[in-house]
Amino acid sequence: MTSPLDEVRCAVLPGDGIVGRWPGGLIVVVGGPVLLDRFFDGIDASGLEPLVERARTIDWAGKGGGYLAVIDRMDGLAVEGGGDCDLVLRDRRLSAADAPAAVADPSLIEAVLDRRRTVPTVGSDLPVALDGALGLERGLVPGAGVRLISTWRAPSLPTPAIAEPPSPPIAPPTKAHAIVTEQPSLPDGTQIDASVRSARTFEVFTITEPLENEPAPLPMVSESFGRATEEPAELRQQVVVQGIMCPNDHFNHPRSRICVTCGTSTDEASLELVRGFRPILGYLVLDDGTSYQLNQNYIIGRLAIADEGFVPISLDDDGISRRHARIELHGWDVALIDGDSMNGTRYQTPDSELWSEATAGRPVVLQPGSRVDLGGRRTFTFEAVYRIDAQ
Amino acid sequence: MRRSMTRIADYEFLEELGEGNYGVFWRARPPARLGLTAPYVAVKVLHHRSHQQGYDRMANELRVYHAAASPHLVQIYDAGHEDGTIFYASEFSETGSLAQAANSLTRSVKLRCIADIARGAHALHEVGLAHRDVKLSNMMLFDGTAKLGDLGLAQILNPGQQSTGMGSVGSLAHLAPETIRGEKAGRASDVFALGVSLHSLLCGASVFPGLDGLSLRDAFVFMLQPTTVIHPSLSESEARLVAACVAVDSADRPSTADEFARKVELLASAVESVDGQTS
Repeated sequence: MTSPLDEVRCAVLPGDGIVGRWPGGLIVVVGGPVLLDRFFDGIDASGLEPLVERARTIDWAGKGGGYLAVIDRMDGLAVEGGGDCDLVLRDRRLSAADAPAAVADPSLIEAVLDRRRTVPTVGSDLPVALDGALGLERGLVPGAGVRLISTWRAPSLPTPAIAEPPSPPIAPPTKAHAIVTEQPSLPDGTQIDASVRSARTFEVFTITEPLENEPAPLPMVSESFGRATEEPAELRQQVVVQGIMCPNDHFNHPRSRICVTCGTSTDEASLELVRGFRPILGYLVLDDGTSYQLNQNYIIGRLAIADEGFVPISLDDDGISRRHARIELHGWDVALIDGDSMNGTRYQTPDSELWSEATAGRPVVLQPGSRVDLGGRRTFTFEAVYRIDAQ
Repeated sequence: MRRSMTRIADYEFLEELGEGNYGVFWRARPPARLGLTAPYVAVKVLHHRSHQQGYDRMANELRVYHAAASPHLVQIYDAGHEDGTIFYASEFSETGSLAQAANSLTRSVKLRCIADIARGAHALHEVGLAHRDVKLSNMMLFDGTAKLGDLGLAQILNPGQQSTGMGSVGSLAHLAPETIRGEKAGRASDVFALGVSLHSLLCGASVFPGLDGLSLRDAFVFMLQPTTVIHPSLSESEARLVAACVAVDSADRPSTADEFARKVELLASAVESVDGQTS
């Protein structure tokens, strides 16, 4: 089970202290170097529990430090803490001593941070993409607190492979809504703070406001593949490769026996290698039937998001890591690279019964028809467009 | 999990309308905050959960869609996400899509409807959007006019994706060869799909019967150079228009969806004048 807490992005605020995050929980410990040295003395810092246990044993009063932990307890998020660490909810800021013992939903929490720090505004104070330097997915890092981001306006990032619509208006793009579905009460009739216990939240996109820039019409006739084009290379990842021309002048894989476009045998084709734009090499066909064109690199993961030069294939499965594997096109080759995934990546060539384990970070060139298994949860097949002679 | 859905955000679901390629449509009651007089809206819940980049792309795309403001586009009232699950609410059609209603329409109404749809597509093209998913089940009927709906948002969320397990290999028939070769969707690829739709609306058969029974890989290869079979029930001028739309070279197709619409309206007028003489 994934905790809703794991779906939240965590931006670490630079400063004195430490921020730890593991599946199902996070902790912020703040204080000067001496206090932190004592805190870490002889501790097993490989998980959340030892840190929380250590924090509980310390009397934080008057020491200029403190801690606050948020831990998923199935029925909600348990909050505990002490000393100079604050919990910032959407509508109020509470010291560790005043913080509620439980919060229904991580989206209600804005930040956990040192009492002396102000809550940064996402987008201006935190301009860096959170998957980069400031994002914490797992582990322990220095920092004075953490800003939780369940929904926020990303700085405009280049979006590969699609036309970028005109710049959005400056007005906020989304509006958050909270619905209180019920007013739960304890058996004795005591009302529970409904905004905390059962709030459900959603966001709507503002779509009706006028556009800042006049949208540009589509070009009249699209330029054909292989001809000169004005389109920026990064959108299409247009790559020049060497190939052969079939008798009808279609560009093909150098070892292609029949032309993929017209079906003519390439036996009589000129064997002279010519340069051309790399066509689609084939398709990744997933076990649910979805298919992806191999004309670009892909990053495959749980709620994967685009990396530079990689288009995301997002699989909603707990057994799949966020950056589970990548598919990279190298010339005419399609390479599989495991991204140091938790549950591993295996592949099977079509003429073999054996599954081989992909070593993290090491590209494996996939043969046409190869199957790939992601963490034992999902599979896909590489279907090549080209029928080529074996090497 | 999906089957047991009763609501999303502040929409109350009344019945499932059907599975689209990338999500499920529900008939729902609109929330008061929209201030709508219509009793129902169609809410689409996408299968894919997304994240901020996806929301941003989708919000941008919907804002541009809204700017197209054509009477031949299904109006989108609202869009958003709840816990990463994206939804959008649009006009609800009591009569359903052209795919459902095809049998009850006269030839002239069918032609007028396709012309409406082409005008809607043209309005999108003029604001820089390609629809990418023009097909009969996305053409909604409202009181004798048709509106193009269900913008192909899946490719905004998942760029590079070409087909889904929901669609049969037959749904590849709407993909223009240049799109399969990796070019961006544009006017010409929507015109291709308009031609394919026109053919199947008029005669109930695919213009690419050769796709039948092919594996996905072979279907993609087939569609790079598809063999066209125009049904004999089409008139000579209807057949000419369909054949031009599905030409492999996009330069041989009507250059805009608007030009296609004008040609279809001429066909409709021809049918109507014959009907007028015989009745």
